[in-house]
Amino acid sequence: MRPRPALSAAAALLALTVLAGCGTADPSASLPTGTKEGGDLVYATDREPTCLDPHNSGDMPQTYIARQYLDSLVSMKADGTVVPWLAQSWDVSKDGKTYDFHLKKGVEFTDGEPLDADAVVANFEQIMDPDTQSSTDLLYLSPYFEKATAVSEHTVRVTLKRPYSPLLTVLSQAFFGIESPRAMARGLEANCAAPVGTGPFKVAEWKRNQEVVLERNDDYDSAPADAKHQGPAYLEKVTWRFLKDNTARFGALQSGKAQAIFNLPPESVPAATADSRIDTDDFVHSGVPFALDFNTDSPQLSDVRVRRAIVHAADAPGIVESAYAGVFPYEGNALSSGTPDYDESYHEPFPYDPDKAAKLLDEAGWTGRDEDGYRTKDGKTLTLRLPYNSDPGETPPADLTIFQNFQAMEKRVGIKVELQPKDAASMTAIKTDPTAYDLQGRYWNSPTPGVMYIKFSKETLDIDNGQNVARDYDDELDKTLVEAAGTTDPEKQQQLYSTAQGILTSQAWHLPLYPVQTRLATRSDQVKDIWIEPSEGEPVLHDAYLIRDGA
Amino acid sequence: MTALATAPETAAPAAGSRSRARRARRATALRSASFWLAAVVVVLVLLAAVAPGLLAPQDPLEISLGESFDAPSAAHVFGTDQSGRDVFSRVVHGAGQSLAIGLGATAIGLVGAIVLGLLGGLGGRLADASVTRVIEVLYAFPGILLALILIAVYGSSALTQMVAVGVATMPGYARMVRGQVLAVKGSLYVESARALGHSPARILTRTILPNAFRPLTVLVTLGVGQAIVWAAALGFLGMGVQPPTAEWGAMLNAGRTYIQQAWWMDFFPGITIVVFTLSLTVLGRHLQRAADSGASR
Amino acid sequence: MTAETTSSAPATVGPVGPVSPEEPAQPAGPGPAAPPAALLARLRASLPGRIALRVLSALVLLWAVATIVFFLQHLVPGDPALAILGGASANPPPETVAAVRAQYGFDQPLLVQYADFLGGLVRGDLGSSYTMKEPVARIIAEQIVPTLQLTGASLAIAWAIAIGSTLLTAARPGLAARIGSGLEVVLAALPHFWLGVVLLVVFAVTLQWLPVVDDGPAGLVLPALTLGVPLGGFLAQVTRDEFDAASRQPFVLSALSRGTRPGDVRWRHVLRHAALPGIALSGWGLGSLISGAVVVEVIFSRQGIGQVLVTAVTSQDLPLVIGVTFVVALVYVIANILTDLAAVAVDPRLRTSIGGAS
Repeated sequence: MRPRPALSAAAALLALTVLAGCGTADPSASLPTGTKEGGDLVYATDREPTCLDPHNSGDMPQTYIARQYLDSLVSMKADGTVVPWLAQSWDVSKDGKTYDFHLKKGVEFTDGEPLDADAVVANFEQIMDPDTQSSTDLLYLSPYFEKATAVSEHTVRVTLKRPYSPLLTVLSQAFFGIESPRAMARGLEANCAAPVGTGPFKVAEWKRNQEVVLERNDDYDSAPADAKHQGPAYLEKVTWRFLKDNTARFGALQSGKAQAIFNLPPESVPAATADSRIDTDDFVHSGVPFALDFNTDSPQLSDVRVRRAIVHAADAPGIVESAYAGVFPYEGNALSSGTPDYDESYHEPFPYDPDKAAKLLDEAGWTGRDEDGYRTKDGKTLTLRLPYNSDPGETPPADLTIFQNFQAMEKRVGIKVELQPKDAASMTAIKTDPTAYDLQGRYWNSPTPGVMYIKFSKETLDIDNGQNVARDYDDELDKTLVEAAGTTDPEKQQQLYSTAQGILTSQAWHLPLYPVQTRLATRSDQVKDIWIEPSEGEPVLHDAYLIRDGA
Repeated sequence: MTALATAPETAAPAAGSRSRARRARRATALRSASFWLAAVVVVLVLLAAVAPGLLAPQDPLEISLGESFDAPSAAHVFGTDQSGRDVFSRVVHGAGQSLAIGLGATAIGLVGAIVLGLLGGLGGRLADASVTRVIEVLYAFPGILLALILIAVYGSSALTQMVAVGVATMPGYARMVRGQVLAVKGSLYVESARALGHSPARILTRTILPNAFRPLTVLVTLGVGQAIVWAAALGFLGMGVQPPTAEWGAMLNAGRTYIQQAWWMDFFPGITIVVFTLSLTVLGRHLQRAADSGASR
Repeated sequence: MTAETTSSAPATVGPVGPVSPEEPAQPAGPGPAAPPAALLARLRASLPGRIALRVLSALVLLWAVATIVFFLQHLVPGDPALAILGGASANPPPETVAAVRAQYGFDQPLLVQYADFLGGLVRGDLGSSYTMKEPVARIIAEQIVPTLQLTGASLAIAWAIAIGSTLLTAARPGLAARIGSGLEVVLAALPHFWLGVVLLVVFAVTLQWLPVVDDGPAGLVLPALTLGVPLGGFLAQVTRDEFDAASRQPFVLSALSRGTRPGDVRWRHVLRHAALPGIALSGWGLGSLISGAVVVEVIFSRQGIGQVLVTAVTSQDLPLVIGVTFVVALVYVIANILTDLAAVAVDPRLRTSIGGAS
């Protein structure tokens, strides 16, 4: 306790920290030359999954990481076609209700279990089991799925209640990655911590709030047909790090602490573009763009004129431009531009027009004004509650800016928007409580335009799981989408899906804002061949390799 | 508790030392300069809190989508934020709410502390023992930890933030009130008041309370600064007032995101808090010195 | 009069920075309860007895802390099962919610849950995190090391500042002392959230001397400075006042008259004396550092229980919040016992006063 040792200890510590900070390790320093083999990659991402088994829940971070250790039955290419993966081939019955998948032979899970028809059946059963607490997978499957059976050792039959033409694209997502039955039998908790697949990597360790360590599966030989190479991955180890803070994540890339980061923060895009060592790769998700959904159960929003007025008043392109620094494009259609059968004529259906908004509101009877200048009808102020998750990981700062800009824009036409930050539990409760919200910011990434049915159908509304946020349906729309799911004729599909987009636009059940993007930034001087697969924008590390001298 | 008599410099007369006198004069001048500077800052912040429109006529909530992230300039001396709002206006308009949270928290902390302290100081032995225990238990959550627990339970809001900070400052005040009451209770003038036959109620209200609380006024000056800093820290973590409201902590939180491209969004609210709390500290110490010299005469 | 004070109880009239209201009024920290019997007196008479008493009272304290946090947890509005199942796209069906309630024992009577909770604590089981679905104890065990590294480095920096500033400027004539003490006041007033951001922007973003984020020692520099500098300013104020007083003590004069060099006197005699209250406050200082680490770890995206705590608070992951605060309370209580004992060991005069109610 004498001061002297304390002081010298402090001095020594300072000296040590300064010295040690001088050199940053070059990841390629000790790599064998003349090959792509070997090395560790640090991949830093924003959100941490709550469970590594993507069958559980079904949030985007789960699918991104699951792609690294799980293989799916099929793989989707950018043009929407589906190519073999764990299923070498498949037969679809004439009525579109029976799918026979013929599995690759000789594939093993990393725990030694064989990949056979029984294993695939077990996966479907686990997905449908309430104990798995699946959400996304169930929304895709339950309206259609009847059962899965093993026809032979390597043939699985999926039987549907009614035809479902998007099934193959749906199954290509890592949300439907195939897991070892033995691992799934351990129960949800163990399986969440370390699911076992047939993929190019295996989960070695999950340090919560920090990283997941993935190790190479040396026996890997079941890459999808569209992979850049077959056989094991080049990287020996991947550190999948969680850096929620945007500044820190971009800083990690700049300093070379991470070779790739996922979701380059929009505010860092100019710096990234200026840096010659940084490559960026943008992927526009298909599905429903990020939108403010209007709850039609609210009396003020049951009137389509009010809904249209909100859209006209918003200056949505300006809002997105300000919040996302011009990095994200604006999208006013119910589908994102990358979705198959996207119809461009609905890109900006209700352009910024405050006068028109005012006229519509007058027509709807919101003609009075309260002391703050907000519109009233029968003495009630035109107020819209917009609850959002206060966790910045769930509501990124740019989205919060969007909400604030939206609020300020609507104020100009006399609509009062109340921003209500909520914790995760309340948000979950709000999703199934139509009295608790008027507006909600939501998106639905999906490889198929059939997602419109998930989000806006009577069937989803009847399930009452909160996915039909607008809480409304349109018989014509339902009929159109069911018909589209029942046909395999591309022309007919395009025509039907286009009709659906038209109906959705005229209903104005939501204010679409921007298509969700995957923005990958990589150190081009350190790593090559990370690519983004198109079904859910999952990054693929199987083909990635570290740059070194002589390679 | 006031260890005034142990400072030998006052006891040993500075006989005939001219340089020492000069030094003392210079020190006094320095001190009074710092006093006036601090006073000006505090008055300005109070003015901002009461009538923000006088200092910053712009609407702190009005967005301007084309003017996001403008660096400080003549038009926007503190720059603009991500929605093109004027940061200076937001700092000025934020004073009211930030100050209200700081004062409210201090009031909550003090009321709780006074109840606890009086109970401990004036109640019986058992009461004192239990109060001491309660204070100890509260002490076991250092700093803003107690506040964080409360926010975890009740969720983020301006009210929770204020209550949480108040409760977090309470044990410190409580310990002081208790010590002060005990010290005054055992002092000579209370003895003499008792000897004069004054009623216990009169002794309590006229003698014990005023004497016990006098040092507290100084602490409150300092404590408000502390409460504002803690509240701002919670705001910085996103656990306080929510956007788009202009409030210092909330502004810090918003600025953190854009720290690499718009440093002014965090720098100016931050330095406002630093300068303001520093000014409160300077004022508090002057008050303290005045109180001390008054007491020693 | 110009002397500030020489009290070793800085809370009342000491050099109070903005941190004042939470300083312990007596550096001794939590003392044992009011003496009910002569047995206590006998126990106090011996050092081991006193230690045993301290440990016992610390255990009672921790039990009280545990009880408070447990019941606070049950004040949470809303269903904890939904918090567990939460997540952006989660839509748990009722049977799932019921399953979770059973799994976590929410369907049990409150007292049974309380007994389970206390039983778990004794076994070192802090329950399971809602969001991470992992034992809280394991999460904390993983994350506490970087936090302790950070706080340790910060404490060292704080002491370096305190001692450096005191040696250079305290009890010296002229402006030096004024500037020194003025600087200390300013340093002590710097909030972590502002200092950290400024250091980050200047040294990591603009000058790029240090990494923005780094797990290694280089990444420790800015966070440790952010955390250590304000505490250094505070400790320096305490040490300076003690130093001022000590340098007027007779033993200084006598040392000087024996011909010891003034520098040596300052270093060997006066500073040793002056550091005592600061050392006694270091236990408290550690507590304030852990509290500050919450903000600092967020600014610099450092691993640690501060970061975990913030995430847990925002996601209302109460077992994790409670686990972290409980462990921090534990560390804090232990640190206070240790500083008490250290103070007693260094200064025998304290042996009679420790534990005596003021």
